Amino acid sequence: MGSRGRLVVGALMLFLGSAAIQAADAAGGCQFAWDVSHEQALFNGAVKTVAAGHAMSAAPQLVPDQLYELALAPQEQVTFAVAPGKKMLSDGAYAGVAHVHIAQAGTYRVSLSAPFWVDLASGDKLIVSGDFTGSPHCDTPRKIVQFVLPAGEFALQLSGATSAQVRVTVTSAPTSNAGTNAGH
Amino acid sequence: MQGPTQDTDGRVARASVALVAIVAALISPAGAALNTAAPIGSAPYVSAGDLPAWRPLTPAEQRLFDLGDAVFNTPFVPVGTPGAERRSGLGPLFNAAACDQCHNEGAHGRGPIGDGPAPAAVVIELQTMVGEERLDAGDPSYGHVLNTQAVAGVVPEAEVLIHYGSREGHYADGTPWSLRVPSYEISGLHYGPLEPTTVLEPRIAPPLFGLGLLEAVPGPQMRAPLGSADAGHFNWQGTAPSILEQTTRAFSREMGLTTSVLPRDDCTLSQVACGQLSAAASVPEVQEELLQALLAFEHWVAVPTPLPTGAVVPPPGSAELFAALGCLACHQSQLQVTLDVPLEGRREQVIAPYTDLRLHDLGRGLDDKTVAGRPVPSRWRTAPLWGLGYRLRHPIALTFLHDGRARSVDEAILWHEGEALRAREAYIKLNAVQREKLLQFLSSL
Repeated sequence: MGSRGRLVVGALMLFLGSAAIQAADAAGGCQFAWDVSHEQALFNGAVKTVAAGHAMSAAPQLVPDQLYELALAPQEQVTFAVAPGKKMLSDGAYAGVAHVHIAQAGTYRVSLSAPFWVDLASGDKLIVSGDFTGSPHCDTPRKIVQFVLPAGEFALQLSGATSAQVRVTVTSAPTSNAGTNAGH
Repeated sequence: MQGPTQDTDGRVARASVALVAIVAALISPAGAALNTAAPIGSAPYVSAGDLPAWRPLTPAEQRLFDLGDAVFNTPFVPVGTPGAERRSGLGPLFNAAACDQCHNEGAHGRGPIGDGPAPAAVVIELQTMVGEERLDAGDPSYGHVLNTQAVAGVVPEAEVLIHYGSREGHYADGTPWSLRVPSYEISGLHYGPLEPTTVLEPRIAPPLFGLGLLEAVPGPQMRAPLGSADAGHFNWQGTAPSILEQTTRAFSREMGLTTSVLPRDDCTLSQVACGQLSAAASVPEVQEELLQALLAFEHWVAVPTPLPTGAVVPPPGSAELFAALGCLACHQSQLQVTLDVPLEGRREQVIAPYTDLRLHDLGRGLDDKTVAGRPVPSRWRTAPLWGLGYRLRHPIALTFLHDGRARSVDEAILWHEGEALRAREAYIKLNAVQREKLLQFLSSL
């Protein structure tokens, strides 16, 4: 691995050696800005494989608190309920849509195993996301987006994906998002 | 990465300027012989996913702007990703895969909220001290930016952790304040030690607001940055003379993307795998059409006005308070610009950026340090305050100053020393009502 070290600048200190390696490894793990223990437990549990829809008319229904592996399609073959919330180049991208039923109004999280773009739509309107977090060295999950939702039916739209599969959960958020800098 | 999205078309062609005009008229710097026309540059950010331009665009320009917006948002992927074509080329070493990951929605980088790993929007730039001169030469083993991510087969350069101490004080009315004093822990250095003379420069991604208008400010008012031949309008220390240079540097150093302007990744001789992968990639990785579109987007993206338009009115006397404190000495309310293309028949226009685009000594508390711990006298470009109201209304991980150490406008002011010491002392003498009044004024920008 070559020489690894730890350097603290400010009230400046310099450390070299094994302690530094441990610090580096700890920092390189899954760290999020929020408490994501529930999502991590789901990502380490049983997974249900389904094909995402090419259109809402053929989209599967996703249930909260279940880990899914969605098979995506080339993005040019997918018809979204609403255009994705951000313009992006879609060369070689994969996409897919799904239905999500939210029984009770609240704050919900959509968690993904890869940093792909995700939208939730209600009718012909996109839902404005409240916040996001992510951990670049992690895929259980990699990215989490938070939405405040009323009860109802929603379209989950994934776009800009660089692989044809992605693992997804929808979960209710805990009341506090206290955490660290990670993911911002 | 993800951020707020809205469903309304936010494309507004012409600036909505009434409020800024009123404020600017109130507090134009004494003696400045400025055009009396309303400042240009602002437009409502109705949809954060669809940023507006500051001037009407032709259909062809709008298409270019939209393509640039898409480039800005696109996560690039490593060479060899099937079908990736125009978005291929990320790395080998990088900090973020998309511009938008750091300049979130064009507004600002999400700053550090506490101790822990540095957020993606805070990078450690590396420069070299040669005697008393700070040169943009990078570290011999790590290059110009410490890259915390890498493609498969390449090891990231390091991890960056931030720790905060505190600096306490109180206002004249007895109200206490506490500032965060950062220290940076660089761990997992994979390519050998950093040079003791390397300067560690923590820098948070600034907003993109009105970049094209800042570039249109005539240049002679610049001072040369300490230790640099460059004297530019961009970057925390004015080290980038143009949007082109700033953008291509960021592509090369923070995303590992080559361009026609900077056809090399930031690999060093110590980084063999990085060098091999970089040499095998086609150049430029960012197609010229995409680079030009991104530059157009950056050139034309507007400054956000308060929303809803006209809803935020600074309280009476607040603008005068801002002036009385001496803030206008650097945060100038108006600058003249010369546009490439006339707007409403005139090339000469006025903007209200609240900056002089000059470099200033803000005291030793903000100095960068070398790896060996030596403080390096640092001068800072006056940060433009336009769009501050928008930022304060979208406060997710909102922090201020070059490294995001300030958690509030209040803390940012309290870090002003050096040339700004008198303004800071005057601010400390304000009572709570006056401080709130000043904040309300700043929230209206």
